[in-house]
Amino acid sequence: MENLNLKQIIKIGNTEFNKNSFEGMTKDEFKKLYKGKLTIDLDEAWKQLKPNTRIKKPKSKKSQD
Amino acid sequence: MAVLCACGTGGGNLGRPSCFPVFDVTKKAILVEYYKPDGTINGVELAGLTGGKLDQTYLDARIKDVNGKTRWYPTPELKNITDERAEDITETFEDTSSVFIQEGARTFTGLIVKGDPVLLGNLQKWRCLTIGVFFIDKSGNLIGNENRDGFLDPILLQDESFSASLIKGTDTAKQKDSISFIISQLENDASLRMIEAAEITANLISAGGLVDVNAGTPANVSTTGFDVQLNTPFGGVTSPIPAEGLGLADFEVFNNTTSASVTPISVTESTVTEGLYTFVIPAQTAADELIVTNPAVGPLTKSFDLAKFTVTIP
Repeated sequence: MENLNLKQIIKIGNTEFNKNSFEGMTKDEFKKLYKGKLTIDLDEAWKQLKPNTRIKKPKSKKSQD
Repeated sequence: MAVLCACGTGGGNLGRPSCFPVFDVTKKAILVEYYKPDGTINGVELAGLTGGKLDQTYLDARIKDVNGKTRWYPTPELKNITDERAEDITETFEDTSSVFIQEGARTFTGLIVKGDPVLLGNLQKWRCLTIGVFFIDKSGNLIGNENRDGFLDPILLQDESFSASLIKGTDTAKQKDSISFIISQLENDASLRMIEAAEITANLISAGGLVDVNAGTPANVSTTGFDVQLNTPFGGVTSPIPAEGLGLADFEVFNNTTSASVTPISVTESTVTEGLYTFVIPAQTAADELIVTNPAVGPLTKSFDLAKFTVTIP
């Protein structure tokens, strides 16, 4: 296995996360995986791990007209 | 080493430049395995030094080498050094004249203040190896020998001559480890050379060796993680000194059942129990055996050498 690139690692509190591991993971999956394992707020941790996550709004009918 | 007689060329010139450096008193030794696994001498290739300087990157690569067979092992600071050759061996005749046979053996001894049984045990592991040594002197010079062009090689020790012992403290003296060894008769003092401190940008004089780290029995093992206490062997039996400050890049996890590497998702060091780490990993299959080690590719980022441990997925 290649060593983790330091750019892949994000430290939140006392935890070092591999950012690449969260590709394709949902917030619910994250919260289930880390339930009871972190002393930091899971919602806040998720925001830092997936800062670009946005809920896509469905296209309105108006714009399709 | 036998000193060859220069019968065909006459004696060596005895002039010297007006100003030139000499070795200072030894402060540390760097033990190495004399031969690398490929059979070559475990020396410093001078052409491999960036800009001709021994920099921190080079030093870290040697001291924190993941391969223990090519790693450098600097000792703590040494005190009360003796590094002397015994009297020459001569043959004496009935008329009381004598002729030179060979140089006496060069014996080195030194003391490690606050040396303890754990360090002693690690020193004793060297006894059976073919050992080479570099010396670091008080001025920060790195001393080895130049038996090969383009290399500063470690100085070869006589086989089985390495010895270490514990000197217990007294009312007036601190506990110590002592080390001693004899330089190989294949070595010649005339070949000793150094990389001068001025050509060393690394912090050589304060370089320390790696500290062993041992894992306790993994706990709270699930398909997606486990907890493990990582301690150094130092400290009391009920109060070992924990290995603190390790992170994601300091571990490699391998599924020994499926022969596949496992990239941990996260590693958390407990804020409550020093040295207690929580690993979160991608889901593994029940009964799989995981092996956790140092990273396969060095140099190590920290000064810890993790002994591999296994985790069996429930």
